[in-house]
Amino acid sequence: MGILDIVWRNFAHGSRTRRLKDMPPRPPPFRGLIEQDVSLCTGCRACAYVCAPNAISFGDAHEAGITWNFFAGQCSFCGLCVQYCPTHAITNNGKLPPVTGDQSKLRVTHEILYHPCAGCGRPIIPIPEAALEQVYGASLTDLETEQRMLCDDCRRKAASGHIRDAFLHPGGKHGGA
Amino acid sequence: MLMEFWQYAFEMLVWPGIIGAAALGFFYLWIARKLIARLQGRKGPPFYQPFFDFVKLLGKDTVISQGVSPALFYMLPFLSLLATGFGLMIVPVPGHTVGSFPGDIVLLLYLLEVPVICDVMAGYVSKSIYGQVSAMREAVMSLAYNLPLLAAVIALAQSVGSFRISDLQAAPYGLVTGLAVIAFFVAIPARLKSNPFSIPNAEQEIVAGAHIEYNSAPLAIFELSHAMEVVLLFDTFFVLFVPRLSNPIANAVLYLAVGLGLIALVTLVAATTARLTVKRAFRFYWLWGGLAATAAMVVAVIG
Repeated sequence: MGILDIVWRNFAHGSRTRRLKDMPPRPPPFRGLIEQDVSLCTGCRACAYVCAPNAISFGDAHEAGITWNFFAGQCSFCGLCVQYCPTHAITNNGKLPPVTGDQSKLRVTHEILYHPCAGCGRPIIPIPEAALEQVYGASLTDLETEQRMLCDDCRRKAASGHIRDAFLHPGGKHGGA
Repeated sequence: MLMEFWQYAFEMLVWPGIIGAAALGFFYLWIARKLIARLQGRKGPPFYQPFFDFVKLLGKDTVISQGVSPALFYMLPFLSLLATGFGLMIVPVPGHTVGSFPGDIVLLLYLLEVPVICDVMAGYVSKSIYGQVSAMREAVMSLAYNLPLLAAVIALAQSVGSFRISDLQAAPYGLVTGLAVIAFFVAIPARLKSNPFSIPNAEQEIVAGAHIEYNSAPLAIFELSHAMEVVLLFDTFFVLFVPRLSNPIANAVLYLAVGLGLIALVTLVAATTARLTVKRAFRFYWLWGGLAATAAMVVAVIG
């Protein structure tokens, strides 16, 4: 008679009804303007993709880097860009946009600069150290720091090189573990 | 003569009649709601909730569906209430002063059945398909559970040789009483329309049934009548099967204890079972209830 066990357990346990004070804390009702930390941005364009009112956009790519544009006049403060930014470069600051007739005060433009690849010199946007630390743990090894500044092709080459070394020289430079 | 009139009026209106039975009935209904809530891990309502529900309904405007006879619409709940009130008047519970008379158990059983007939009619006059389905189910259920219920009482009366409540109450215990208790108890959940026999007032299938087009004061009177029916049914159980103690206070305590025990048992059954279909419920009553009743009858006639 499983049902008797169930009702007896319910009876002994007491009410499971949640009281008002047991409710989880609510986030503040207004999230405010967004702020972008350029050093964390990888130019993945996820923020522009999820932005429904098109407040965030990327300019045309030029030689030095990519332009990130934000127009507060179109922002609905929904916070999706904050939620979807993989490197947590975008945050809400809780502030209201300035009251002004001058649209230029509502616009923010950031330049995300290219760096030359440490291997071949091709322009790349390296993954920010903070993002790598989130993935790999508190502090980065020399290997990870070194590979951070490589382009995709050079990183792949370096990785195959390490695997080859591990086979040819077990217990040698990087292999053996 | 005048004294006697006031005595009857008190019996009808205060105790064991309408006011006392309403308070006790609301209390029983609250116990049922609270206990079922606790058995389901919920908090349950405060003890005054059934009373507040009643008062709230009284304060609402009455809406009568098109094509429904207003006279019938208003009459049915009051008929139900009056029948239950008269029934309460003749049951010798503690604090009761009106004497017993020959054949009073037959009258009591008839009065017990009037609220059911009122419900059935309320379902049919409502012009709602749900109400009509509910009325049909209630009529079928009434046929089903009345077999063990009536047979239990008839077997008891046969063994005692009297249709007088005071004689039945004074009868010694025997096998007949035991079988009759079973047959009577089995009929209680169906009479109160609680699970697994909540067939006429099934919330999920027919939107709680016969009272669907009822609202405001008429519905409040129906609810009051239902609360009193609970008391009347438990009273009937008490006078037929529970020995009367000589000490009036002990008797009153026993009366309350029996009522609480019955409502707790009925609630436990309701909390642990799911609703049956009409067919299965009917088969259950006519097979097992019928067997218990037939056995009681056979023992009564032979012994």
